[in-house]
Amino acid sequence: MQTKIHDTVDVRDEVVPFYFGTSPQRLYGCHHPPQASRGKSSAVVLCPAIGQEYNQSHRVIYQLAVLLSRAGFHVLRFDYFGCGDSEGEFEQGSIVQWTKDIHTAVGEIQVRSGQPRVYLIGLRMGATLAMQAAVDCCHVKGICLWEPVLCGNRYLQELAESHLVFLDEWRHKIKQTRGTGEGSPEEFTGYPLTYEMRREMEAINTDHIKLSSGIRLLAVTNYDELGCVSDLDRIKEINPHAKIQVIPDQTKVWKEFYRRLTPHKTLRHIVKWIDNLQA
Amino acid sequence: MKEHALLFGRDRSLIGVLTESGNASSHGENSLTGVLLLSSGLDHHVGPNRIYVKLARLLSEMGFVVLRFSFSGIGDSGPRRDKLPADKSVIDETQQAMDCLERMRGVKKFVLMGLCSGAGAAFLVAAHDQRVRGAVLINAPVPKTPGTELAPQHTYYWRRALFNLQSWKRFLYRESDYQGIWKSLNFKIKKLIWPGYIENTEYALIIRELREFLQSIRKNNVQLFFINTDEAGGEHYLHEFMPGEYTSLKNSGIICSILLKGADHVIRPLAAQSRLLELISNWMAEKF
Repeated sequence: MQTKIHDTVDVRDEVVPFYFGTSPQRLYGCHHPPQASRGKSSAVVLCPAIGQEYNQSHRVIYQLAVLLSRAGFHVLRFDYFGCGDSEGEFEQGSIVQWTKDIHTAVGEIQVRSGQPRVYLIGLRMGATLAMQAAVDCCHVKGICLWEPVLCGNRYLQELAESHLVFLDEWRHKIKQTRGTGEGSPEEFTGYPLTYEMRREMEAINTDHIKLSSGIRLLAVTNYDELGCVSDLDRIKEINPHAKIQVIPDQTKVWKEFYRRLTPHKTLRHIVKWIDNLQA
Repeated sequence: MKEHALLFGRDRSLIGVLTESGNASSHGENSLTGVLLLSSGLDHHVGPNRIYVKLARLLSEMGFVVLRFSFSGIGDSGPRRDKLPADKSVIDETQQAMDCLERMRGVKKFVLMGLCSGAGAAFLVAAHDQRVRGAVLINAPVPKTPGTELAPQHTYYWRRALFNLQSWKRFLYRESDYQGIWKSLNFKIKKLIWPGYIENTEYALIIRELREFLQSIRKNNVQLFFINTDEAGGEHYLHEFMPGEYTSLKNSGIICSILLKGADHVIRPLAAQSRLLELISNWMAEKF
């Protein structure tokens, strides 16, 4: 049954914050129970971006969780190890660890909701991690990739560019700070990036990730430039069942959120896609 | 160190994380001091660059009970159901957080900390609630009341632009706000030659209110620690607009302040983040 998506604030949205997993790697999560009178037979895990992109897109992920819970889904927002409110320090994190964290989050929402079927929605690096996690998680029935990081090298280049823009803006006060070798973390706009983390990120290439045809796949971009769409088309080459969607909306929601509007069109589209899978 | 997720407040809509040492407080139960980290701007309770998480963990190791939470409508916290303006709601919600820690852990005295608008909120609550014994104000904003704000350009021109080569270049290339500069110069001259001039300007109301706040802070012996990344923050406005009261509080040791060099407004450089943690932990160890 399709549900009307409410985006007013008249509804009292319940949010339950908690820690899960085992110490010293407990993860912070927020459970948004279903608000619609008739709950859906599956749950959703939201996989956030990392580093500065996590901070900037936190509210958008919250808003997506609220819309999904109003549509009748159990939703879990969570922070990876070393990120947000979770235990650990950022520099202790890794791509391998964060992918494991998604598995832990899937297990947690299954227990909390009683629903075995889970959908993943990931933004930026979260989308890439969700894709990796789905390869060996039989409970994942669908994934939405929102502006996924398709190539680790390009992602690192983008981080470096953001950091240079920041240094340029504050050049009267801040000298360039860069690590030089192994064991010396570089820093990118407020977060450290260790040598090991960099090596892992360089190896990211979604061209090698093939998902089971039973997993529904939606890749969303807010750019309508040819390059972005053709990048996402590569996902379709490997995963022919994937659907690619360009949604003209607020772009780069993971950057300077106070300068951007809520990407309502994108949020509603994602909720509708998952809702349709349920119908 | 233990971290607990909290859902609290009258409507159970405020969300935060309580961080505390695994052992009993090193300060002893009776003198347990709570620290509240107030969310800044639209950033949620992890703080810009996750700096509140680092700070909470560090302070908990020192024996403080630390709660960092998001104001209503920010981060994980739900929106308010009433129409209370922001300058009142931040006081109300911070008091709800103090009530929560008092009930849960028996904490009766508090130090408030915040960056930017979080610092503004900490200052307001420090002037309104006697449980507050100290406040760490990082890049405190220009004081304001509804409808009035101390004109930001006054202190900016005299403390920053005057010594900045880029500002002089903009001035020479006709890219400056000449009207603003003239207004500021005019204000400065009148202030110098006309005692009591400020009380006859649109700033009279806010100056009166700030004066009351500072009196309350002095009366309750609230320790204030201003940490600024530049020379044109809220503290400098207090100095500019009420030099008598400001200097007196500074001389009596109630106000401490320091310039944190090599940092932007939200302290992104890692070296500056480490320095910030060091400054705060030293001040807390000395004062509490």
